[in-house]
This record gives sequence, structure tokens and C-alpha cells, in this order.
Amino acid sequence: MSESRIQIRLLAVSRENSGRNKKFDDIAGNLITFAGIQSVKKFGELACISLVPKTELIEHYMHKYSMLRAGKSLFLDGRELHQLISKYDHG
Amino acid sequence: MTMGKSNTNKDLEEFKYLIDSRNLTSREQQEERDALLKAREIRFKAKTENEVKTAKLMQLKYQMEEYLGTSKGSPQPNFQNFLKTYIDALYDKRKNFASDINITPLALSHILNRHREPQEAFLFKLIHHSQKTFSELCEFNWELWPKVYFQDKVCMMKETSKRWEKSEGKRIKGRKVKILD
Repeated sequence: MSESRIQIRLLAVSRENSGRNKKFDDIAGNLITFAGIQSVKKFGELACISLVPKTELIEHYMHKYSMLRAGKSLFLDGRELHQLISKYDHG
Repeated sequence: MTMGKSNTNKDLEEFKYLIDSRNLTSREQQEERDALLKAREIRFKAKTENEVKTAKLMQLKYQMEEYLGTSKGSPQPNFQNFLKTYIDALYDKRKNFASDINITPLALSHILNRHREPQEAFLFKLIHHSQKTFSELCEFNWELWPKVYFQDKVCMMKETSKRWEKSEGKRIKGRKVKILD
């Protein structure tokens, strides 16, 4: 099985869009979805995205985006990836 | 400006709102790759037919959008290729699609093999069918199909226009209009 995967190396939001008083909500979710769309477009049924999160964010990613664990990485593929795209992509 | 490794790390550390970043050694990277492949392989084997279908349809949608977003276009007509992908993602036999949109298998075959141009009625049927297919999956803009069809036409015209201009252009009389001072 070839990799057919897009790895998110860096995911960041600006100061005004983080914390409780953020200006726009869910920027991270939209950025992860963007990577997911690129992966689906390129790899179809083999599409996958992954990232290596900071330890304190693992639970957050797993809970909020239904990411799955493999080693230090978290990944999304198949049904969970499609559900995320369906939730965030309105265009 | 060149930046040393320590400066880069310092800058990254100072960027408080960084959600995710970790530099792994090449050995760690390989271990991560192996762990991911193993986990994905298990999931891949358990993949349902519906997941495969969903993936193919989503891929088609995004590829159509990408095609429309590129200004270069393509010398190859894409409408028929996208249509084949769409039908094959949903049906075992193309004649079943023809039946579902109320056309004859022969008419569909002619369109797919570019022996016949798709008429407006066909495009309406295809749009309606696609909207039903995608309704539970993701947003699907009904304009995608006609836009792809006409983008193909524009690309083909670009290809032939220079040739046509050489042979026929001289016979066309135009009327020049100038902006007067």
C-alpha cells in the first residue's frame, strides 16, 4: 500500500482567532478539512491526512475531529474523513 | 536573510498560538510512517462498498471543480471522462444508469464515446440525478456539469481557432472602431 497521504506539518491560527474571545471560530477545522479535500481529490478512496500533535492536543483532535491514533501520529481516512469534509465544506 | 536553526526554533517557540508542530528525526519519521501504514491497512481491509463509492464521488466533485478553476484548460474533453467516472462509481452496468435517467443505452453510449453531443435535456437529467446522489454526501453545485461541458467547448475552440484563422480568417471583414481624441 503506497502512502497516499497528506501530512499536516504545521497548523496555526492567529492570536485574535484563538482562545475564548476568538474572532472566527473553527479555523483549525477548516484548515484540516482543506487538507482532507486535497487528499480526496488526489487519492480518492485511499485518501488520508495525518499530523503529529502536541501531547496536550491529542485528546482534543481525537474528540473534535474523530482522528485515530497510530504511534505518535493522528490520522483521518475513510468514513471519518468524509464526514469531516461533509461538515465543513459548503462550497 | 538567512536564519540559523536555533533562531528558527526560537521563533517557533515564541509563536504561542502554534497548534501543532513537532520535528521528528528521520528514524522517528520512518517509525511513524510504519505505524500509520499498519493502522490504515487494517482500516482499508474493513472498508465498506459505500465508503469506496463516497470517496469516488467526492473525488470526482473536487476534480471537476479543479478543472473549472484552471484557466489553462485541457486539450482532452473532460465531460465524457467525468461522466464515465460518475456512472462507474454508482453502477455496475452503464445501461442501468441510462434506465434511471430515462434514456436508451445506445444514446448514452453515443454520448460517452463522443458520437453525439449531450443535449440540454440530457444535462438536466444528469444534474437532477447528481443532486439526488450528492444530497446526503456533500454540497454539489448543479452548475458543475454544464460548466465542464462548456469549458471543454472553449478549450476545443482555443485549439482550433489558430488553424481556422489561417485558412478562413482572411475572408472575414471586420469594422474597426477607434477611440477619438
